[in-house]
Amino acid sequence: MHPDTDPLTELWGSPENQPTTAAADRLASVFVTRMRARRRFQTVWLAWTVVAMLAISGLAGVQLAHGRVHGDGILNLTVLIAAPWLATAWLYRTWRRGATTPAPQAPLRETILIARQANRAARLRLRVVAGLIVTMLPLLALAITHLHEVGKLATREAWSMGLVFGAALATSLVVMAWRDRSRLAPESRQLDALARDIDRP
Amino acid sequence: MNATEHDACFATWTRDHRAILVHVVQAFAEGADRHDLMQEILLALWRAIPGFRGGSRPSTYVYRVAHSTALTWRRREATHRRRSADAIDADWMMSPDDGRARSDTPARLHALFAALRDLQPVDRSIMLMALDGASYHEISEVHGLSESHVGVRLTRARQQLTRILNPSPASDHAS
Repeated sequence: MHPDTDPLTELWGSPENQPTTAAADRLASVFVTRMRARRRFQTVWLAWTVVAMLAISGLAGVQLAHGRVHGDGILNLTVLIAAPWLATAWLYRTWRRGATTPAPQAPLRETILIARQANRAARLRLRVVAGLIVTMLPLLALAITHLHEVGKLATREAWSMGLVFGAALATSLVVMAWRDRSRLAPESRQLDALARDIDRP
Repeated sequence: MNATEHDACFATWTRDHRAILVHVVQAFAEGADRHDLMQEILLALWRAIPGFRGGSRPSTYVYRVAHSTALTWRRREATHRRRSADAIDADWMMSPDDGRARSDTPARLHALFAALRDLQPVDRSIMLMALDGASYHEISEVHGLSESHVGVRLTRARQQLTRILNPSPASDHAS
């Protein structure tokens, strides 16, 4: 043992530095209660949604079986019924995935490098989408102008359309910039610093 | 692993490794942020339990989860900080339960954790494990560094920690 650390080791082992079992039990109990409530809510919500969708799908099935839907209606009805099932399946998968995490079998060094890679990929995706939106803006203006010129849109409608779509795209850009600035960029700086720190000789 | 086993494992690990959790929280956060970090670590542990295959000791696994969460954790802005009614105060967790403590020990511990927070994050993480009595092998296993690298960094971190805790009069005059 290093001579300098003996007082430290003694201090570290002092009773004040040891949390009590009762405190740890209470901590675990409060947390487990909260997680159980979340788990219960998800189960009830999922069960209720599936029951409701089964009823609706059953009714649609009866309509189809009795030949009350024809032509394009069959396809439309199928799509209409399939969409909520797909959305629920996606939500269920997300919840399942959120309930566990990839096992932290990897050492911290690898975890940091993987997190840095994921952060870079997320920032790249964000920039690609932002670039596409920026490209969309002049194309949108061009399309609206063209529709106006060929008489498909009145001046007032053209302005309304331009404002609504323009505002939606601009809002998306602002949200993406905010996400990058407030979350991804600081995270990137932190992970870069950690990666440098862990490899420091 | 079913839900009951999962919950039981979580409770056992939280009890058995409570010192690891609280020490990490104290060394990586201060004030009200400690509650946030503790919640993040508990959530990470909760989610990591199904992935435990017994390849390492539970303590090594808990170290890995706690330290990786603390290292990548970012303090939230005060306005976004969660303040749930069931907040666990880390000071309350550390309260002595037997009255044997020396009167200046809490102040010295406070200074020690403040000094630990002054270390670089990775050095802090290594130092924490060393203070907990983990072997070089276990520290290197958790961090993915060679044992000799751990030894070098630990020596440096110890020196830095001692310097912070016992500033020499010469350096006081210089500053």
